[in-house]
Amino acid sequence: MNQGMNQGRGQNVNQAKRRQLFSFINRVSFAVNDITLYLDTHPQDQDAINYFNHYSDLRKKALKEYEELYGPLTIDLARPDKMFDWADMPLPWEGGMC
Amino acid sequence: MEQKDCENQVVAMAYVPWQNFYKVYEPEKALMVGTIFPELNKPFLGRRMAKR
Repeated sequence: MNQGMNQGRGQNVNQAKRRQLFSFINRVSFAVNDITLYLDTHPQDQDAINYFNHYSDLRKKALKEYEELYGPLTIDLARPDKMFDWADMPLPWEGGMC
Repeated sequence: MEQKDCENQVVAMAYVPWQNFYKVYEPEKALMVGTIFPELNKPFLGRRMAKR
């Protein structure tokens, strides 16, 4: 499926887990985004602040885990050690995460 | 439009009740319907909602 993929982490074949983690990232990212809109007008709403912190932490952890297993989704998460694989992440038309 | 025509007309009056953080959807459902707030979940059902 991902012929365009290179050596290195992109080869991690466990697609099901990868898709599951990716969809988790989408879900928590949406929750963070939507609560941000609410917090724009309710900056002191404690429940909303707790909600934001909860999902924002989950999101950061998931993004970090994704980076370790499959590679960075955003450049500010890239942590190359032996190889800079940012440019080798599969592109959407190569079956990369869509 | 002639200025004198709308001299004493009220332009608009919005009714925007203050939203409170009460109940929210689980992230999975929120992503599907497009909001975490049930009170903002107003899907278009394809026809007028007039209840006769």
